[in-house]
Amino acid sequence: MGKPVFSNRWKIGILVLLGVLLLFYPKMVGRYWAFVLILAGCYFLGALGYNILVGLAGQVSFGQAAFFGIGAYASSLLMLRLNVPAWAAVLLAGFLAGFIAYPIGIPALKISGHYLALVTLAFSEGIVVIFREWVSMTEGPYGLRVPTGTFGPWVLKGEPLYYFVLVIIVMLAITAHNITRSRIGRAFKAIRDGEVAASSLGINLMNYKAIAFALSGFYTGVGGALLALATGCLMPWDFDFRLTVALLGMVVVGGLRSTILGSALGAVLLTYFPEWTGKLLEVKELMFGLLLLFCFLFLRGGIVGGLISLKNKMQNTKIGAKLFET
Amino acid sequence: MAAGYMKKAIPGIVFFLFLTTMPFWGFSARETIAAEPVKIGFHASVTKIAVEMGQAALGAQMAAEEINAAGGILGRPIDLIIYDDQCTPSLAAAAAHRMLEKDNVFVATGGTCSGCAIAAGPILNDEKVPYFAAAVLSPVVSVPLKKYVFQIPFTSDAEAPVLLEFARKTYGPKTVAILQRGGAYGKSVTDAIVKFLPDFPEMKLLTVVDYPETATDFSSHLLKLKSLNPNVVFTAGTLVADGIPILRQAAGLNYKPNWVCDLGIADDHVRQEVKKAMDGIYCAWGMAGSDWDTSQNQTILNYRKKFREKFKPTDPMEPSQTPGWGYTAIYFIKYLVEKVGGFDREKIVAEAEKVTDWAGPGLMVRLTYSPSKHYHGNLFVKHYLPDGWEEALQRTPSGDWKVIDKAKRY
Amino acid sequence: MPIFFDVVITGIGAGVLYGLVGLAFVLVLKTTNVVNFFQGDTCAFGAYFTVIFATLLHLSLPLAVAAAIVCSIGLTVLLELVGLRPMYRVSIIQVVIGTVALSMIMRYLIRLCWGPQVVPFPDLFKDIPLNITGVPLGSATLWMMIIATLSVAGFAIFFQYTRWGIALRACCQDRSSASLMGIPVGAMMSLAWGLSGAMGAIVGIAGAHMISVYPDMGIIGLKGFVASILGGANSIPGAVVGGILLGVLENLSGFYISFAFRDLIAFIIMIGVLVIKPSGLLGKQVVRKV
Repeated sequence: MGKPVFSNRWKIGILVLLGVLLLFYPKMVGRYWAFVLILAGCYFLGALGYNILVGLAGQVSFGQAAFFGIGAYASSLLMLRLNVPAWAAVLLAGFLAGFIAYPIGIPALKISGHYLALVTLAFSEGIVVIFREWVSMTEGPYGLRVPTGTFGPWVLKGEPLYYFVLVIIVMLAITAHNITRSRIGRAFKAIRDGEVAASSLGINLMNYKAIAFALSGFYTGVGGALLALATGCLMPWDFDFRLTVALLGMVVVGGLRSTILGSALGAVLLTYFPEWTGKLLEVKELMFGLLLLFCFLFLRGGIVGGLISLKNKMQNTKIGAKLFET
Repeated sequence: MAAGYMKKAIPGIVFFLFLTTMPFWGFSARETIAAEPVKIGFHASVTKIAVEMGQAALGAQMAAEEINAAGGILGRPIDLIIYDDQCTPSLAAAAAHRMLEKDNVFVATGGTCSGCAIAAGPILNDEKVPYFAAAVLSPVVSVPLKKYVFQIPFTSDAEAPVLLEFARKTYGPKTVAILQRGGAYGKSVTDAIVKFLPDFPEMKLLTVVDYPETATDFSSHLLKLKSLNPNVVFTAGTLVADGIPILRQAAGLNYKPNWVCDLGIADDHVRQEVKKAMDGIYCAWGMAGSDWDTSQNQTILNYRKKFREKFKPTDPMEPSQTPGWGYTAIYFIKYLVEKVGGFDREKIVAEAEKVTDWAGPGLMVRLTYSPSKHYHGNLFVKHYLPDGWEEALQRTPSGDWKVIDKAKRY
Repeated sequence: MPIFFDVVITGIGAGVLYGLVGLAFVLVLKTTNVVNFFQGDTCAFGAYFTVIFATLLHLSLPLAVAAAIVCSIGLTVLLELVGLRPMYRVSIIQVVIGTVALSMIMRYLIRLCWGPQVVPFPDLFKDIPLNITGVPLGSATLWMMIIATLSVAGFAIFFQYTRWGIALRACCQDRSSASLMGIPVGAMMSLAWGLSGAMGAIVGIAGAHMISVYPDMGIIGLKGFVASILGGANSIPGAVVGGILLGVLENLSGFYISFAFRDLIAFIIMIGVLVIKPSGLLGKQVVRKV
């Protein structure tokens, strides 16, 4: 069955539009909102990593914040102590996080479900302890001041930082998209949908689970490294369980089944949302909770799921049927 | 079949709309004010633990209202923007970015948790916006010295020698230990005590026992201290939510060390809850009051009266430390602007550099940070006595401590 | 008595608290397979309701406590029915987020009413002190241990010998078969949630005097979660055992090794336990049939 000509055109059209929007975003909305989008982008990478692990490969993990933190601290320390250029530090930090994540996939074979949740939680809290106590490396409770990176002639602050982050995120998003379509992606989905069946089909569970953790770690690590560049100061407690919960929230709100778009929507929504409640301080948390609850109750499958079911419903109407003619 | 794959486009379109319109959503209440207001950013822990520190925001609000009622600063009203950082450094950093890029504040102040001030300071410093940390004691906020960052209260470097001095005076200990709360503030106090310990050579530090911020059970910590049996135990960074369980559990374990505490524990809630368990304890304290210059007394009494009428606190010796700091921070900014004659950041910073002892309507302020000078200006000591009494001690010019206030709590 | 025993005993004392929260946690987990992140906040419900009844409405303490427990049960069941039940059909993983959202909203509401600072709590055991000479545990903790023992025994009897208990177990095993047998599955689930709410409230009330009462006191839920999984996610006595083990581990590693690394050490040991016995201490290996 050949692909209709429109599909590609529509998709490319949307992507181009999106690309133009993102390119001109700082000019359109000003420095502050560009900064917010940078933050959303970092959390997007974190959520993407989480989604790969939980949504794509179906593994349980409460340890995502640890990789975020490892990425953040590692890249900052590389820049600070070894004068590694920013782009290299970010990528190296991601690899380090992925490398550390890999062995976690191994117990994932024997331990599963709630127990795996506990193991990953333990790991995450343990990492926080290390950040806190290894004072000679991380400055511990006093916080690590992240040096401002440079890329060629540009100082990575404000607009140059925005484009730097944008480029990295786009590259990684494309890679993630390809992964979901690749053999690895299919193996992940098989494992998610039925481990026993998958292994009986010849998929090496331990291998792929470890790869899932490693990939997840890499993406999240890069997200953390970029966040470090954006916020400028790292403290051990920024990477505790609450961060994992926030990332999980983004994944669920966006849509567990939709890897890239879901993570993006979830991250953007949950990062922007507190910004709107601005002056209404006390209400911020209530709003956040209500938003989560709303998305949880009324949007089955997250926002993307909600949109898909909306489209399905529309297909039953006359106009809808025309629009979505298959 | 033709438009069949448009369904893929829908999420894209929605996302597109999201991004374009997002910055313009949200609440914005902009009242029209006659003269253009001066924006002062104030970040504090309003809703999370360490909330008694967040009361600095209350003091700041009171100051802003008073000043605006009296005509504002050089005719311009203050627009005090309060950010809740929930005692979380990353939120404080975000607040700092907000102050700079969204609200375009003229100066920034606040800071009720050391970690938050440490995070926010450099961000504001980089953008050349003056930052007067209002209620944080960790010297790490100021050091390494940054041109635009100032610290209003006394630092742990001032508190530690006083604690050591009181320990020596009252108990003459040979061995001491520290019970430290995890976090930037707790660590500062510990580091400061360790730094000044060589000045008290007869004292030996046996151990530092630390607990994480969310701890609820202190039995093993207290047992460790009990087993080592130091003559004096200092608390470092303890706040109300830990102070109450610590004192209770210590009583439960039949462990009554000689506590010499830093200011976190000197709170009316703790006293009200643990009552007898606090008898005999000395706590460092920062009180709204100035030094031994008696001409300041009426001002202090006025401030206290205003505060009591407005906020109706329950502590007999309120207003306590932190609202006074927030109050002073705003008045200090007013002083600087008026001294300099205009809203010029560079000039304000230069003027602030020159200030060593400024007596405002609430507190004395010391800003030029110097590791060698220990400033005691608004550092007092509270002593808890039996039957619910407590007294406040103040250092005299000759170096002794005299009782300046006494009250009954329950 | 050498201090080693003191350390262990106080560890047990702390662990009992974690264990009871873990017990509540397992109740819900077993029946509905939901990881309840506002379990800790049920402790806050109990504590704050008691504050309302005792301090505001001036009821006598026993009455206030009873009323508080009833209200906590009601609130928990209500939250579950309204906030979580609709999502069971969709995905259990996502229900976790629902519980997180409810936790945030509840904490906000508590903060709205009482403010974020610590609230004074009456000493419940003042008139009924319990003390064993030589054992460094306070009245509250000793009472808590009695409560824990009674709870574990009580639940054992409940699940083995009472009709509702057996019905609940049936729901755990196989929901559809149970409903085919005429068991009102929905009511059973509410029962489980209600029981967990009651347990949480009891922990919050009995423990409040030792711990502080403030909106975020639900943080103990995390320790409860750890305790329950360590003990075996489908074992009620396991949760209590897990909690006690956690408390003792924490105390011992803190006292003898290092306080700074205490959490790390405890976690490493826990991971070790799970690697050796992947279904927790007292958990049963669930055989998944394909």
